[in-house]
Amino acid sequence: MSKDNSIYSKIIPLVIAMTVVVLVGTVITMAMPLLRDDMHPKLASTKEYTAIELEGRNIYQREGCVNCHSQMVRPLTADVVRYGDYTKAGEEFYERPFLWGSKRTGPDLARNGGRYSDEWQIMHLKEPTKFYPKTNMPSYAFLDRPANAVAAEKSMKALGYPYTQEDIDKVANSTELEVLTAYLQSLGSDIPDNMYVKVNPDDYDNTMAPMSTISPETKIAFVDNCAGCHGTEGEGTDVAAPFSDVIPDPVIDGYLFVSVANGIPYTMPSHIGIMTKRRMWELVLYAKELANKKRTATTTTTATNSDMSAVDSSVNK
Amino acid sequence: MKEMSIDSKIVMGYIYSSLFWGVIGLLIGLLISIQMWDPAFNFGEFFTFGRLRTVHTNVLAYGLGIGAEMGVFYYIITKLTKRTLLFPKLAMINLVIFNIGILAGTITLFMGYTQSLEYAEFEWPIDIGVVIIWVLFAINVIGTVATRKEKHMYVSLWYILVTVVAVAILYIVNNLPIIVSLTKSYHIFSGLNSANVQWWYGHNAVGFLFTTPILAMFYYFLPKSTNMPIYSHRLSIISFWSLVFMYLWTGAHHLVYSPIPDWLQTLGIVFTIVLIAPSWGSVINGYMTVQPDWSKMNSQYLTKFFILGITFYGLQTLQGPSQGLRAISSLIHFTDWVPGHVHMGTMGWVVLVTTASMYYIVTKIYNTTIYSEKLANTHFWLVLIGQVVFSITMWITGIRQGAMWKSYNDDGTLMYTFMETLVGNYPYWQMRTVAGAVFIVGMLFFLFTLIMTVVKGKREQSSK
Amino acid sequence: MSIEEDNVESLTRKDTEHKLPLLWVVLFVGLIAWGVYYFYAYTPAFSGWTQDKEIEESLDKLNLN
Repeated sequence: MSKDNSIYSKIIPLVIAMTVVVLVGTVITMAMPLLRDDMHPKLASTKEYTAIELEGRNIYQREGCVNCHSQMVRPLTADVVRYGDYTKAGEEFYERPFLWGSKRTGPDLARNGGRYSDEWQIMHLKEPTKFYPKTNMPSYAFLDRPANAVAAEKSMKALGYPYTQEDIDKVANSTELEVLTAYLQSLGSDIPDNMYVKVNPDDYDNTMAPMSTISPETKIAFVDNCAGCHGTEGEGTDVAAPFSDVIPDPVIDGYLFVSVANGIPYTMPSHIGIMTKRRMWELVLYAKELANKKRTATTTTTATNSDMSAVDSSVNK
Repeated sequence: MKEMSIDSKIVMGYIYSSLFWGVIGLLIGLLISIQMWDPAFNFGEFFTFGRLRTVHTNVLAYGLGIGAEMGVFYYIITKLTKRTLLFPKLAMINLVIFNIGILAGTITLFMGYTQSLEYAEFEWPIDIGVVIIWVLFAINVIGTVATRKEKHMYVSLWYILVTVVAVAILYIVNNLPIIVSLTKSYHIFSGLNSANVQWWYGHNAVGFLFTTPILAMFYYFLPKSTNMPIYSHRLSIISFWSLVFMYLWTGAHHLVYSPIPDWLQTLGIVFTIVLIAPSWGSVINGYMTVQPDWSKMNSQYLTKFFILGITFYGLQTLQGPSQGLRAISSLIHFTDWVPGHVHMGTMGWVVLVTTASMYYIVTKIYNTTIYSEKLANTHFWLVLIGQVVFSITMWITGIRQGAMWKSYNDDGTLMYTFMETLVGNYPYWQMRTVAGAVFIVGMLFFLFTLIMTVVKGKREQSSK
Repeated sequence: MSIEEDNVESLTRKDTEHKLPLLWVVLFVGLIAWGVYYFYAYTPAFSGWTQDKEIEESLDKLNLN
């Protein structure tokens, strides 16, 4: 064995040596970065959370949403196509703690804001299987209870974020579901128009439109991706009006295609990343077919132009 | 009957406590594994996956892990210093505080009081409790070693000392809070620094709760139970210093392809890969120790626990570093591959070595032999099979889902919706639940054998 | 309780006390060499490689818009 006067027979020098050895990597990779500018940049559009958003974030933390949902779009093509523009350092300025997560049992939420309507978010939180029958997400119906405005105000104070009494009242008059939804709708909004992949509304490829066949796979895709909101026959649900009401007759197919592909902000999610263009064209045809079936079945008014606005808004983008 | 020494009572107290928390943590693990494929198994507010996953990891890491380590360390220390604990009463009081702390921590996690930092979820009042527990532990460890009657400090003692030092630094820094109320705080670091400090902590929590303490046990109980001395002292020394030096640089490998600056990610990856060498230094030392007589694997029932344990440690320290590489991270990050990796380390390496150490300790303390080698072997095989199947199913789902996430159609769109990539995991997750159940049955065999050994020892002594 | 005391000297072999397996030393040195290369290749200040450049280039190749 080593000599009697070696460091292994003197405890104080040994513990000091260990501490020093442990601190080298600590200082260089953990402590030093704290002082570096490239570790805390801020985008001009990055603002403090509002009271309702912060309380929503508190609930997101409390329920351990981060255990299943990541909030970091990696700079990898597949991530960007599926979720939107990759996460920028400057967006993270007010993240205490960061909520990037380490496991995607559910989809990434970093760009979730504005992809769905508030109503959809709330109904989905209450009963996820209503929209995705095979999902493993638990029901959060128990969040349908008054939010804690006192906690919200304390949190805002502790972090030194600006707020008004009106902001706090808004929390007081909301349920936890609504507060959480406010947070979910704020995610990713620092980068406006953060959906990376988009169909240009002006030059959509209309050549596929005259197709007349709708494959059985498309009908399955309709059930999996559309029926949750639109109903299996396009008859509409609590979150979406019947096709026969929202699809005008006649309609320019390209308008519908753009809506399906790019989505409609705060109304309908985009699908461009996750299905082929052909599949989306077939869905357009199928939706029209369902709308017409309903219209011929009923003798009431056919096309109502008042609902064109939803479709128009996407074209204007 | 001879009265049991207070040191032995302390050791047994920690062992019993850790096993109690272990059973709770494992049963919650079983429940959340079912929730992964059937959401109907989420019950109300307190039993949803989001909260239970945190309870599972913390109860096992702190309740089972730290509890077992404290008990086993006290045993090793009294042996290697040739004296009794310096402050036995303090250790007893600490045992009580420890159990109260874990109980309070568990309850608060059920209630959703969490800092949302992995393995540092306990809110700040619990953190203060953890720090008190650790300081009291450190006083006893350092005090006893400082007043030892054996001049030379064996390698296990270095691993114990570095664990005491590193955990203290890590835990205190990452848990610095901005306090809102008794039940709520925010990370004092924000954004990229929050992420970087957390994974500096998170990775080294694995290093100094599941690597160095288990190596301390390994280096002590392998030679003791086999009567075969450790192969090379110099290899132990170099492995030790290079391991504890490099570990602290590696946190950023959890943040590959994140907005963390490129140089920081690269530094983390480099040290992670080089870390293979010191890790395998211990693996080789373990193999070479048994090398002169491999028949010990068969003739001495504990040997296989240690050798299989160090084998999983070896696999773990190859797989882990590979995950840090950018190319591999891009495929398996955010998938089941990573929890599969963690479970090989905990269920393979940590559990095999710790349970074998406990068998050894109990037979020594009660001056007896094991109640039944056959039952101990059954424990070994069930735990081994459960763990291997568990990890393999997770690796399959990980690669499967990771590959599906980045499969493209001819027109450049993605082939699968998220839901399509998810539902294909269910059969594997069901298999994982079965594997987990097999593992738990194995642990129940362990519990039974251990307790029956105590009973046997007591009976033998009273009949003397 | 057992009164057996550990002989610390007996926990480590005498004949191989200072022996390092050659293959292990080769592995260690090789990993360090690889580490130096990797650090050079993936640090923007040295090689010019950046994560952002990598993603922007691969997004440019993507023909979806």
